[in-house]
Amino acid sequence: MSRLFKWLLPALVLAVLIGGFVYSKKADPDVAAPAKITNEAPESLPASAPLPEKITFNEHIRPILNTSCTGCHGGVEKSAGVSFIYKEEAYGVSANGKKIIVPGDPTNSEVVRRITSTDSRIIMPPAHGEHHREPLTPREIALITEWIKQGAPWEEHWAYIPPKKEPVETKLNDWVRQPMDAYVLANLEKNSLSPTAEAPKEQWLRRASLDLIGLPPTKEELETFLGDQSPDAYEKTVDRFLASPRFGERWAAMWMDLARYADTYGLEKDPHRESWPYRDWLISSFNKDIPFTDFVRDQLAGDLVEKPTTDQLKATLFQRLTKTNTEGGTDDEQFRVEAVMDRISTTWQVFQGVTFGCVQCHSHPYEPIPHEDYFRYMSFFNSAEDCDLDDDFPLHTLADNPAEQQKATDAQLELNGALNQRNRRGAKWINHQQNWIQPTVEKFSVSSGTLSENTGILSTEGPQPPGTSYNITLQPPQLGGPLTAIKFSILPDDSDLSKAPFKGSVLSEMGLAKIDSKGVRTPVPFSFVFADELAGPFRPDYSLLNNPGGFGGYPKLFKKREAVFVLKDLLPLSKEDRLELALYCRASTSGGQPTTLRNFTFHLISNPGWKGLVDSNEHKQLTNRINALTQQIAAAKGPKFPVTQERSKESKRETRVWVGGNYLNKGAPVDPGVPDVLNPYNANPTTRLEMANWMTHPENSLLSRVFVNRIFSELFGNGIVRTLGDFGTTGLPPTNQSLLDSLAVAFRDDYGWKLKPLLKGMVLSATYRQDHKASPELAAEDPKNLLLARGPRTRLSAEMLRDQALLTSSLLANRDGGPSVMPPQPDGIWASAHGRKKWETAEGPDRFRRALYTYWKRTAPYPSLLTFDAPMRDACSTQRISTNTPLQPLVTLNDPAYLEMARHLSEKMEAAAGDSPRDKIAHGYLLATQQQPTNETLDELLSLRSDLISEYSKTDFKPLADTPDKAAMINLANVLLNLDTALTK
Amino acid sequence: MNVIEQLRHDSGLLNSRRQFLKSCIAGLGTAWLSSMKLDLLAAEIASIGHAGNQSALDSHLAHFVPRAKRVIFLHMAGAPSQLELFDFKPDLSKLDGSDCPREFLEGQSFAFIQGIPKMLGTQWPFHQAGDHKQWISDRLPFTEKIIDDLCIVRSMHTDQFNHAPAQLLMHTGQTILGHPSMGSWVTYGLGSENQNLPGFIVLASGGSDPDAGKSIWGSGFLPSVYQGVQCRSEGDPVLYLKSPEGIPREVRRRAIDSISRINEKTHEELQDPETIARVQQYETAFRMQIHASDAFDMTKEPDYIHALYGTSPGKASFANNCLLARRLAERGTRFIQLFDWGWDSHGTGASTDLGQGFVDKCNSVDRACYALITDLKQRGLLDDTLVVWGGEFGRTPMRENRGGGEMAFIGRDHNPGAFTIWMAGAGVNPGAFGETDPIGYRAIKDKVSVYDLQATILHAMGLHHKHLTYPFQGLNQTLTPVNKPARVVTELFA
Repeated sequence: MSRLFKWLLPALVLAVLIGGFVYSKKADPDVAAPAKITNEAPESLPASAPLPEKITFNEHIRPILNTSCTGCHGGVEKSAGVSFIYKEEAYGVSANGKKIIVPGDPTNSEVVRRITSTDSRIIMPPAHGEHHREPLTPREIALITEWIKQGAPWEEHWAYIPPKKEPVETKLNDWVRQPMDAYVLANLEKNSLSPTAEAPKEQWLRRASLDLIGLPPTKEELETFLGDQSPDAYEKTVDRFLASPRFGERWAAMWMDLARYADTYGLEKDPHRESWPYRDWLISSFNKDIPFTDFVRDQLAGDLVEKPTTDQLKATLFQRLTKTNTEGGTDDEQFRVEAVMDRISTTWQVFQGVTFGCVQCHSHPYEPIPHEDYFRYMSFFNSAEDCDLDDDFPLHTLADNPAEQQKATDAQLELNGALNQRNRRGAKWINHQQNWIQPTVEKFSVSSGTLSENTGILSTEGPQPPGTSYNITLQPPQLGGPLTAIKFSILPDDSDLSKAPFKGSVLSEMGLAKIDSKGVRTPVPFSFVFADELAGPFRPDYSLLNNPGGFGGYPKLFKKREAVFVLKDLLPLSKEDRLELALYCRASTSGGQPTTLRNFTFHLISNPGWKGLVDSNEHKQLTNRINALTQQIAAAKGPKFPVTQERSKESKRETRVWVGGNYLNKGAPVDPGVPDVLNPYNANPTTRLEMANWMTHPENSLLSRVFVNRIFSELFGNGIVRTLGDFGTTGLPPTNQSLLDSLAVAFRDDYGWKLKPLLKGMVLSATYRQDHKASPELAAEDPKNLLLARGPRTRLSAEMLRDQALLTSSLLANRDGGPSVMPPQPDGIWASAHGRKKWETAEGPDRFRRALYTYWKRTAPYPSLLTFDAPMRDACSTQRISTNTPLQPLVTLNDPAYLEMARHLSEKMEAAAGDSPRDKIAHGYLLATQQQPTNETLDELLSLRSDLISEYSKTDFKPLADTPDKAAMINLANVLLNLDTALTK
Repeated sequence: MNVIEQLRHDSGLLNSRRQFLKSCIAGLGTAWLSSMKLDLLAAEIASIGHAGNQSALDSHLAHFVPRAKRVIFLHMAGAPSQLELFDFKPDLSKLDGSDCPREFLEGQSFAFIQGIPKMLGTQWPFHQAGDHKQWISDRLPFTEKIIDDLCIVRSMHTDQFNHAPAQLLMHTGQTILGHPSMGSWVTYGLGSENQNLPGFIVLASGGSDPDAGKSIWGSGFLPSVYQGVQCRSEGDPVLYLKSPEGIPREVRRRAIDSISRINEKTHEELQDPETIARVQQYETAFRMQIHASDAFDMTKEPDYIHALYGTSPGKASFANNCLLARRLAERGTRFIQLFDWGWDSHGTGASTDLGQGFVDKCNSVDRACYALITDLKQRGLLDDTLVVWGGEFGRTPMRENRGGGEMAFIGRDHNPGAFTIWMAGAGVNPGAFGETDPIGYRAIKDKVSVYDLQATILHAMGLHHKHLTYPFQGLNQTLTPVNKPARVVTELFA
């Protein structure tokens, strides 16, 4: 009931309560609201205030329902058959036949009877018991009653209605420089505030430079800008930033949190993963300013577009940055499924700003998204090839030579196509031929455990470790001709496929011999193996080779699998002849879990067509092409990165609802689909690519809003919706919806989904160009600067802090992309981590690369970045919560990396023009902050210098420098890099 | 109720809650949370009534007198065998060497066992000890001396049978990454008692870090200020704690004075509250350089203490970490998390053999556990410190048969169905709690799930697992997953 406090937080109460230590036990992440804010919820007004003339559902009614009703009468519980999630349900009847809401008729609406009752057994919310809530306030009751009287007009949640550019009126029109300013100003005027004066040029330059390219301006850039009096000085500078190759690095760093970018798998041994091609793709995409819709589509389905480019395949690493568990004895299916769930939740948070994870277990408690929709959506992701294998299969080779990359990509894609094309020629016959005949199993043995036979089906018992072999003797039936092929079938452990998948089952090798009546044994060679489908890491024809791979379900068996082993030559059989089969199983999953045969059977056929298939020119040509491509790919030297690859259409995994969210308890199968509430334009996607196109549809109400909001928060310190990853009904409402919508519409329609013009509009806006200095009154009234009556002032991100110190000390090595690097970190961070890879501290320029190139081991990330709020990157992080802790000064004061930078900065200071210490210090101050120090500050630093020199005359300066003067200067440089002014923008 | 009444009402609630917490926790530091204080306060006010359960929360809180001010969690990563330590199963010994009955295998997933394994009787003799006649094997002679302080829970069970997910589950309540650890939740709920030290400290014995990596002491979606700070017994105890060589304390003091004075001017001019918070953080960092160094300097301990623990300063060991845990407990650290390693007794080699490596592991922790409890007790700290010892799951009563055959060494596979932990301090009921089936395969009586354990630990700290929440992804998230039952096992406490 008292959502009001979010919007009405009287300073008085703050003052009273702030006296002690307060620690929240139940807290929004970051929800301090200013005293005044324009979209204050009217229900927060006292009961005596007049009701608004027109009561609207989103503004007045939904907040009451979400706070007091939906917990029980919503997507999860629907107590007494009552739910307020869907209009139809709310206007319907309860389980005991009561009309819940009767538009225009409060007296006959059960809801009004219940909220106004004086009977404690009838009153809603309940006064007692487990579900009891505070009663509704008289005003809330009046609002609901009046709303029903007005016809109870329903509205969709604001974020599910497409944005529109609303006209806006302001008084101080001269102030407006960019369209967004009018919306900010209107909000300020509504709150009787006026903008702050324009920032000094150097303040704007530092902020814009750090915001756009993640680096502060150099002294030369500062001087050029200060000297440029032309009217377009600001615009030219912005254009220069946007064209800088450093631009892409800054924005890639932001996106890497969302993509949970890491250079390792994520658990236990946490082995190395070649993820960096994705990071480089991000950088180049931001630099090229590819339309955001393409950026989204390629990450979700770059592998499914026609003729994918190498870049589009790199983009699909977005999905492969989930964790892979190589721990011995793990169930690969568990981690495959977890990766799929991670992709779903990440995709929704990043692009749609909707929390989707809870729909895994039940219908969304607060959003109109039914339980089944989770699994309909899951089916888009459920048939990707990857399955938690130790080698991160499937991988894509990125040729070292950039000029050959596309060729190598084309070859790899063509190989997949050719393999399927060759296999399909036989696959279509496997199931459609009627004349397969089951032979009699005469003898059988197994090298470990036991084997039994029943109606021609062989089943195993007991342990079958990898390496188990089986010997089967078949008595051939009358075939009506020479034997041409043997069909080998692996049967699922249970005919009820809702219990699938089962343990893997792979035939690594099969050999055949004919035994005649005299006992003479003649080996019979096979020429080829066709399978019902191609999927997984092995080719069926591996069963003709001596290697662990082969035909079957690996690492899991999802259904019955069949393969046809074609004889090289027709094999006439007499009644006395016997067929002897030797089967070997050598495959195993992580930690030696065997994937041996458990239930299998054979069929024989005399149809000469099989031989014909293999002997045909088409087969030979395809085989030649496959061999040529295989060689070509093997010859392409370069890293292999994990890629998203869809299983062939025959081998799509079935997706079923999980009862109660448990993946081992499966219900009915579902077809792919997206939630109705977010699909007013009736795109009905059936593939991952179509789903991506649904998401990037111009009428999607969320995509552009969520993205512009994120960019806005990067520049202005807060999102307009402050919960960047939650635009649903549980997220915070926008502080200025017309501003958000105008930006979202402009991004889509005016800027063609391009980031650079969006940013340009923001940094050139009068809003952004304000001074960030606040009067004490303004600071008290709007401490978080939500209304933007002053310029933004925020701490540098973890990456910016490192990069700034590197640049200021002239150590920064600007090199583009490539594998991640290992700058110095304290000894022992990796010492006890699992896995063999060692932190090998870089020498030369790789010591001084920008922070985003730092090697990211998920189980032991680079510590100083974590201290400044970089997330672990073990899961998608939609928002860094900026903290201010004592561990941070320890880094910037003591980290040897920072000391090294301070030392170099001190050398630059020593080398500055002008002899006086005052000049040198002023020079250093300017380098670190791009501002001239005040005299007061200079005096402070000068007195620090003389105090330190006298201190060093008493103490050993040698470990630091060869003179006390220099030792003092290193300390001074260190101090400069630690000033609040240097740590903020 | 009008708005003023509402405010009074809510501020009253808030005050009573603060009063309550204040009376429980003396001397909570502000500095660590200073920049968040305002936000959290506002959020607290905003959230009153927002999720609806306010009065329920309040009354629940009123029932809670915290039993413990701090937790020391001794995690034996890899999962020690309960069947060789605390869970005595004479019937299992009778079955030693026989084929495992089929009904134990059906529908079960094992990490390594294949086909029909053999049963494996306990490898070490058991006897009863202490006032409560508790069963204990001969591998823990020192632990036996404190057995009357231990509440031995033999009926633990979990959902996971692989290390990384099971460790994540034990420490974060979830098997997927991205959720806060128990220590983060507790410091989020209660703050730290000592502003010159991190509130949540992690100490690893060396060897291998836990399989799930630093995520099991990460803050997940909570602000990073709540993440566990891994401290070391080699090098700087806290990363970057030491000033670089050539920067003595006087120089550092003088430099911070200048930083603070300049920052104060900046604040006067710009009025950014973060700037003033930063001034405080530099002061705290400076003090921490002394206090943390002191806290981790175990050379200050007298010889008899070193003899008690079996410590050898300067290297990473479980014993050293136990002594550090006591020093940190004395200094008010809220959550002290120790990780030991090497308990994964599969029998794939001598180091994981129940007759060899396992014995070494027992020897390496036995004395230190005894010393920690004894030392806390003699200092009067055991009354309000909850000590928890245990792994992430248990081990099978079947002998591992990796590859399907008999292995050269003797080991047991992972068993999520039953394991043993012990607790001490904070008024726990000494004696055994819960039972497993006659072969120690599954917990059957007074079962305690990992979620129950988490709820119980929070409860001991005066926190309710349903009401210590943080909004994320549209839900008020809790340590124990919202869709899993969790019970405070009040019977564990006197």
